[in-house]
Amino acid sequence: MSWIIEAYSDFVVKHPFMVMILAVLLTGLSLYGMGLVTTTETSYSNMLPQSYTEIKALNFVSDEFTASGDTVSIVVEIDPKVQGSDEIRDVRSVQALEYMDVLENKVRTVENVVSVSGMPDVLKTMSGGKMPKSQSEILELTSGMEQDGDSSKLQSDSGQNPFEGMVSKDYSLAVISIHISDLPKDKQSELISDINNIIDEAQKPAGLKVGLTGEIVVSSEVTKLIGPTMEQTSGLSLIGILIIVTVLFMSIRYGLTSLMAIAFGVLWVYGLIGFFGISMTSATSGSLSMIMGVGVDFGIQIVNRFRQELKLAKAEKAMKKTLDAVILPMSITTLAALIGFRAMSLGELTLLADLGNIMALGILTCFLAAVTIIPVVLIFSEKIRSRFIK
Amino acid sequence: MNPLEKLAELQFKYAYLFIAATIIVTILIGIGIANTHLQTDLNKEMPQDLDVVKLNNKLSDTFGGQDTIFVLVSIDRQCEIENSDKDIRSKDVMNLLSEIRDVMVQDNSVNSVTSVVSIFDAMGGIPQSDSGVKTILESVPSSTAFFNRDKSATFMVISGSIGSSEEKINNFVSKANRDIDGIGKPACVKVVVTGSPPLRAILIEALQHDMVLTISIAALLIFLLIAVVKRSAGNSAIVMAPLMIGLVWTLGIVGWLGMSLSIATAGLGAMILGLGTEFGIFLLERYKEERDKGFDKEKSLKIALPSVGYGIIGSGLTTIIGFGVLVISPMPMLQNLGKMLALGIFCILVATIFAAPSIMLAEEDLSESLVRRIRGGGKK
Repeated sequence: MSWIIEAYSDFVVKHPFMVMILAVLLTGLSLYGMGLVTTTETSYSNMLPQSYTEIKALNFVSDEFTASGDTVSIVVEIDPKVQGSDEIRDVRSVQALEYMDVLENKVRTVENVVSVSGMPDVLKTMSGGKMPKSQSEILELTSGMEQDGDSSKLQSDSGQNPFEGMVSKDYSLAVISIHISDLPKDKQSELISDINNIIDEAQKPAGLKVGLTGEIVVSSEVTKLIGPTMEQTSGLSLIGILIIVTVLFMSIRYGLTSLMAIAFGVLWVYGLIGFFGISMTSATSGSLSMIMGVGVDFGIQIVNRFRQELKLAKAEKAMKKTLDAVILPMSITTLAALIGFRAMSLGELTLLADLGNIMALGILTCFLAAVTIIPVVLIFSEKIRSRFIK
Repeated sequence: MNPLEKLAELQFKYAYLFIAATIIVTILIGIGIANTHLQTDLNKEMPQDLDVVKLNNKLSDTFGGQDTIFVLVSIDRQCEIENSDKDIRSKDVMNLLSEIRDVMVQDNSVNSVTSVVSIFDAMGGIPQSDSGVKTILESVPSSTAFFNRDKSATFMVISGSIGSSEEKINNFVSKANRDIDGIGKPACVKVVVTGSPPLRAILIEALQHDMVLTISIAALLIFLLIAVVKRSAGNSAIVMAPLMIGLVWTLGIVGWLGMSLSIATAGLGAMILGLGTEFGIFLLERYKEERDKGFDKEKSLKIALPSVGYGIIGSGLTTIIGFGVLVISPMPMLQNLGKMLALGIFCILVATIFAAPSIMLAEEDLSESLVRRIRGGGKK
């Protein structure tokens, strides 16, 4: 084992330019791989292996039945801004119902919408296909709702309240349920955007507040947060780590040098994620900052030992001694960390396996970056420094 | 005197007291493990201040959480009974659906049950022949939505407000499966209950299974790795001791603080075991190095702990920062993961600095005493 380490450290010390060129090429390749990284939403079915009978059955229902897709809801709420004004204060008002009717009719024309249901449909069915035009008529048709569907007037053939799930008991909120086909993620986003456009364009009566929600709407919004979350957490992590290493070494130069392990390690792992086709989810979006926290240790160890050896020898010799001494313990701790993270992929939860795989890859790339980039940068920087001092 | 050198001196003088204190603290904190609970509700892992999430929660509060369960009834393609029916539209299957519906509506948490059977309710019930069933279904165009293209499967949608607690979900899914299993099924017809609640019930089991499995595998492999590299099971045990103590403290504190273990944190144990190993290795390595130089136990410890202690603290702090920043993430899932991992690394760091040196000394005492016994000597 030791002869491999010694041969490697010899090579790095004698051919730093070649190591640097290899690292730059690898970084270029990673930048290409980074472009292939995709994001996906977190759902119950993509957290478990597809071999479960229940998952297979759910996929079968999604694939084979048109009535099986998702449901999104337009929520219409009363939201009066001025006290005592004539703004709407009951979703059963003629204006509110006409507005909901307009929304429903427009949404029905959107591609991939299977069915739309809301209060206007039920009222139309109850009054012979036409929307009731007077408030008294509407109140009469909807009376008894507050009795929790017990009123005989509101019982449908199936024995259920026809407005069940469509309007709140205090008439402050109404829901339009939109049933959509089973769609891929990009088509879902398109459809959500189309419905939002309809909501924005329809003339809304004063005193109403409208919003769109549902599992796929939430999922789509959360997926949008993956990128910013990664930037935010990894940025802050980098700043925190830089402060600690700078304080630790009492030197900005050495602090920054030790960060090279994570700077390049993260670039390389992100490239590998793209090449391996691992999708980033909301749960794995924090992995980059975690990799930084763990991976910086490699940089710290090399820089720390190099500074000690530099007191006794010149840059090249100090680096050779450093690498000879630190590669073995670094390899053991890397292996232990890899065991911990790879163990996560032996369970049943696929989400855990993805997180474990990303972390394991990250630790490995940070280790590789630490034993390639950092020695080269340290040798070059020492040469430059000694030239200036002369 | 350097604080870590002072600590090393105390650890040498009162090694067994440190071990006893560690055991007592570990038991007290470890009791909290009984309070840990699992959280599999994805909605709770979403950013609660997002407008769409707020609106979704409002809908659940107003109308009750709508859980959707699908009961898939299909022809078993692996069925070996000859001449068995390949069309799901038979009177026996319709009767089966009717029986499932009757059983499911008795559950208070079920709000509605929808299936093709409701078509027959308005037509005087299910016909007594398969051809009668097909004739009625073909006369109602909307019935096609309940069948797949080759008419080998149909499904039932059960909407209900089961509640978000893991216990309620497990109870509901177990009862539904038990009730449906208790209903006689036509030959070559299989029934599967699926949808979010059954998947959550599987997730609960998978979470418990994965936690135990990943911790066991990681602990065993790390133990073997160190034992092989160090060529000593005793040394491996020394490195593993603070890891296991730190793990118990972490899970205990999680329990005492009322935090939940979720899908993202199920791998917590394996991760902190993997990442915390380096602390113990560096300490042991340095101590052995000093002992090999011929220094006695006290001097070796007084050199080893201060020289690697600050490095370990620095390295632990950077890891804690990397994990800790996740608390600023808008996702509760990531916030909890960050908090727990940072806590885990902190616990292992504390266990390594405060407990590991005493354990190291005790192990050496034990080895020496064993060697003396084997050699038959009793003299100190």
